[in-house]
Amino acid sequence: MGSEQTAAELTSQLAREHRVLMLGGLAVVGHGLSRSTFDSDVWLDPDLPLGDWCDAVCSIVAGKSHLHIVSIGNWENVSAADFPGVISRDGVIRIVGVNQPLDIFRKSNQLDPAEFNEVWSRSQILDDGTRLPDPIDLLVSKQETGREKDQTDIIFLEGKIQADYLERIPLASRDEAVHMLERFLTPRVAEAALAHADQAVRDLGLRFLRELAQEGDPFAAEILRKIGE
Amino acid sequence: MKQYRPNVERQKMLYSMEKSRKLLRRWQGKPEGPDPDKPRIPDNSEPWLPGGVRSVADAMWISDRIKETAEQWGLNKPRRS
Repeated sequence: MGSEQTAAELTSQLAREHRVLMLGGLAVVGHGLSRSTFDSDVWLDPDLPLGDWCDAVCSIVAGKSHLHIVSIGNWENVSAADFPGVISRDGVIRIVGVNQPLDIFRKSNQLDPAEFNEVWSRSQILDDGTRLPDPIDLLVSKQETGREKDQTDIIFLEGKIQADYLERIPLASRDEAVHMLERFLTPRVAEAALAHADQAVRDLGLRFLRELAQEGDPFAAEILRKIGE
Repeated sequence: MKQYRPNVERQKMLYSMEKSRKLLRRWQGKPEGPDPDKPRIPDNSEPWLPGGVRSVADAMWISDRIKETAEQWGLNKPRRS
């Protein structure tokens, strides 16, 4: 394909044989936020043994002299011999020489490698074989990074998930509603849970609001006042 | 001169969402914040233009690249699940 090969095409090549999830800014774009992003982040199946994982990455750059694997932070070229050590230390490498830097993660900052299968099972299939994580999993990957710039993504994802929950919670079965609330809760979602037909769902919403109100949350306190608590 | 004033309701909402995230993580048995003992992957973000936007053409170039990138990754198409 030559030097005009894109990061998207390289990723697609990787996804033909391995499980690849989109992460970072691209994944947020995939959920509908129009935001700028230059580097592309993907999570390659961490269940692959380390040697196989490295081989998979090497296979997409093999024979393409314009592509290089570099380590994040010092941006030094990584040789095949050093690759397993670098990935064990950093959890991520970058491929340069394509139209966008392509960062391939083995370990993500927030999502544990042991959670990959779960995140994969909830993800959406994209046309090129990669998958887009569920918005809650993506939110989890963003929420404790401590990076100011992730705040916009967090606010967008929370708004999107909350709107979806407010529609789905009233119609969900007891088990489905409890499962949903165990993954994502806000005062407004908890308020919606208070109107659910099932007592267990209502109890969960009420417990959340009480604990939040005790910690000084103004919206939880207001909702509790409205219902006479 | 008009002065910027933060929207109080918005600040309350942001505070509330942060509280909600932390409470839910406690319920899930997870730490409320980043684990200080866990090594952090360094920031890997890249600016579109080193030095930032200096002209309308720079801003338009970035806008075009964003559109182009979304197309390359198939992010502007309807998806199946």
